[in-house]
Amino acid sequence: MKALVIGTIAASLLVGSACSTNGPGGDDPTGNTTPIGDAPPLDHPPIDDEALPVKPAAVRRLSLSQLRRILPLAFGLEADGTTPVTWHLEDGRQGLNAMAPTLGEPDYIEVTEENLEASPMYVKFMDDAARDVCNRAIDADIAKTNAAERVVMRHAGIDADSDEAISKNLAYLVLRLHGVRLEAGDEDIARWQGVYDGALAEAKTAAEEDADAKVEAWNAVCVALTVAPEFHLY
Amino acid sequence: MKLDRRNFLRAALAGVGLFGIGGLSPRVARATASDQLVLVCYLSGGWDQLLAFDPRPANAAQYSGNAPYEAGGSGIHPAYDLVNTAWMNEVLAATNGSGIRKRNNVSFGPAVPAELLDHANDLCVLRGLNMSTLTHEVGRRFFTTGQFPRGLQPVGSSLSTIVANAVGPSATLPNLSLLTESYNVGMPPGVSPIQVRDAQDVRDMLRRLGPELSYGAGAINDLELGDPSCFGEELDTEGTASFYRESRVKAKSMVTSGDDAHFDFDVDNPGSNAALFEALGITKATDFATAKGRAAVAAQALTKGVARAVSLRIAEGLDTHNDWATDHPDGVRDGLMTLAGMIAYLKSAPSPFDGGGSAWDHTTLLVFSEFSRTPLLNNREGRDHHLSSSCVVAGPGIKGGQAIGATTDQGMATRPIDLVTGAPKTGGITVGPADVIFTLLHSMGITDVSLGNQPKNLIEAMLKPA
Repeated sequence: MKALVIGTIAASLLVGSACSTNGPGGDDPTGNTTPIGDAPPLDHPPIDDEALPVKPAAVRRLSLSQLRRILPLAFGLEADGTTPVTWHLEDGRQGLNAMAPTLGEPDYIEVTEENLEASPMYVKFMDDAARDVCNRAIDADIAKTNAAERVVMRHAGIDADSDEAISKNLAYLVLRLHGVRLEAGDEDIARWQGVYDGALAEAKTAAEEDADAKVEAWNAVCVALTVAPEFHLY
Repeated sequence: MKLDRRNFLRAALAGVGLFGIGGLSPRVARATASDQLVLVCYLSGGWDQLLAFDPRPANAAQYSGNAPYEAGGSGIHPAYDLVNTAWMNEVLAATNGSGIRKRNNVSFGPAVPAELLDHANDLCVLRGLNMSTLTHEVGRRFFTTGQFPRGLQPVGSSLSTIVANAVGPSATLPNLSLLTESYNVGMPPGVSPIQVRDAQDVRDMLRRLGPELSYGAGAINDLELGDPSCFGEELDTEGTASFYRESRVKAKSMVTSGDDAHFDFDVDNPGSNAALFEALGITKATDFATAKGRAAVAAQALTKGVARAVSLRIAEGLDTHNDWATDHPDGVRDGLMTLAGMIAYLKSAPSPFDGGGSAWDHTTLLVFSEFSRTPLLNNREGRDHHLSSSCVVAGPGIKGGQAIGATTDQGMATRPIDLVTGAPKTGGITVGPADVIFTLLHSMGITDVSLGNQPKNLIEAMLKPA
């Protein structure tokens, strides 16, 4: 996701911030200098600090065209193993296509430029989309026997449920959906752990079977990550 | 997975104050945070003002036959006799061929239906507006914002957004836009235009679509109302992430409002909407996909307190450069019929505010197109783009039953006016959309919102005496 690139630049500029090591691709406390993604070669000439931009490029919202490509990448394949996951309405139509005129995608007849404002309307439909695609991804995960092929519950949820596994899966999901690399014990892990714990407790209170409760908790985490600005802005 | 509807968000958000009135002084907030509605009606494509609000008597010698086309001629050819429709024939017969009817000494063209003439006392017609462009997008955006676009790029917020911001974002859909352009520049996300096409879109906005979250909605809400993540902070260098988070709160309040039921339109079982459908002439389900359907959404949103500002397209396909007589007049008249229906309904429906009165008593109205059409027919029997246009306004602060400004009787050029009397005046001021928007906002007590990039004048003649 482009968030990875922008976030890397932003993180490098926020020197001294408590968050300075948490952005995507931020300083690796292990000292590993292996570039992640596109990066200048290690033997590049010195960079003049004065020539660096004072702030990153303007933050933008994903377009519908980007969402069409990102949703299948982020959420994998449906339970049938062949259909890419994307947002569907109850009548079977693809949500991004059905809502494209409402969401202001250019038709190049009357609308020639997409309004990329993160408006309440956009966020509302993305909330609808998040619940649907997470539902689909979770259903697909349940059908998979190979944990490495699972999208949402790769490290925890079905085969494992230790605290370590849950933390590892939360970090994996944050990296997958927000492009942010978190370490164990990072305070941002606790944010998502709170969603997991809250949903799990609620499901258990409602007398869900233990396994079902865990699945519901991961679904809630998936939705929370997918409706977050970190998913939609870059 | 369980798909039960959950009500956590309703409870969680019940105590959350939404958004403040950003960027406005307390003086303006006090003056406008009251019981105001705004309705902006757009006729798409450029309307013929000879047919509507700046007519000429078609039976006068200088405006008929070949006279308008001769050297030194008037350059104005109403050509009403070329329009072979029942309504035109009826008007021509009733006016001895002039095509003009008067109310309060204001002339109205033959495409203004009798249903709209019934409201003439409320309407203020502005003629001879200098649109400064013959480009559709530019004219449309100029009148939408009151600021002249940069190239094709709109500058500033729409009138509807400015008003929604001034009166506050407490309504479910404070700023509803039905097939019109509308912009929010620098104002809170709670007043951003909600762009919809029809009642179905509104229902989709006000209901959750797809599976409900079985568990965890409360935990997610707690997370969202808390501090952002570190990456979220990094994304907020220009306030974009904060804007997103505010939008999220507003979006959740929309789907828990219960207002979607107001837009369950069924022409076969109209229920409490029977009067609305009758006022707008809605008789079949396909009407909901037309301007009548958009008008029904607009009127319902205003009268039920769902929206404080609504902009909608009430006519389309007016950009006819060929065969004007067959392709243009019906479109203008149909749009104005829809306008008349909305006004009638707003007058009959109770105000959504405490204190009584009708919804119309609280409504400020603007009716416009991007420009008008040439007063002479071209060699394809059509009319092209013309700079001088008109608009219609009304409202609690607007003096109705009058016409302000004029065009010349040769070529329909813009005439400068006396801003106090509204009469044409040599050496006066040429007015345009910026002046109209500025004065409309002033009439609503919104006096210190910057309209930016060009001089604007207060058209005092538009305003009711204080």
